[in-house]
Amino acid sequence: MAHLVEVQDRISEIRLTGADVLVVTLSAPSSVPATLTTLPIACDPGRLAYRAFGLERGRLSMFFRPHVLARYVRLIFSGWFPKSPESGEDLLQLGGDFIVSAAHKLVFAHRSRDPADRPTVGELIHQLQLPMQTRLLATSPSF
Amino acid sequence: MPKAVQVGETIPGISLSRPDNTTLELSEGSATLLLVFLRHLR
Repeated sequence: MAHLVEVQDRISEIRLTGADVLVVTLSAPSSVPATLTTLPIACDPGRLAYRAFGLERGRLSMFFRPHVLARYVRLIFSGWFPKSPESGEDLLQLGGDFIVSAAHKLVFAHRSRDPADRPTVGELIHQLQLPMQTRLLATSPSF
Repeated sequence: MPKAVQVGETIPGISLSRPDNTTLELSEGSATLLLVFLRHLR
């Protein structure tokens, strides 16, 4: 969720690159709070898109990696507290960030390896600003 | 498990639902799209 807030906070810069944003959740439409985000959101409870983009389920042990624990401690000190998952949510499901060109080609992929593994929003904006050919040459799949 | 789309490949056509239950086709847009896949809503 912290990542979503960071993306939302810099949406003007993202849209200046000409890109749109779509947030994808594995929650069902009925579980998405109206106040979650001002960004467009799509629901994928069957995880068709998660699978198509190669987003895997992690292991419970990923929560105990030092940098993951450190991120959660930072979030707690900033006022966030863990809550019980909504029905249908899977805490082991990993997320990711992808850039799809107007021609529907995947030009950037970051598949999270654990809950703390996200590109910075600055990195995403940098990728959005690159000409497509540069992106295809510079970006390799993250696994 | 089907092969995941890789950088340089065309994304597959996938239908998703908006919170209002209308359908959204992932490969229908005409602009560059930043997709942010969340882990959970909490």
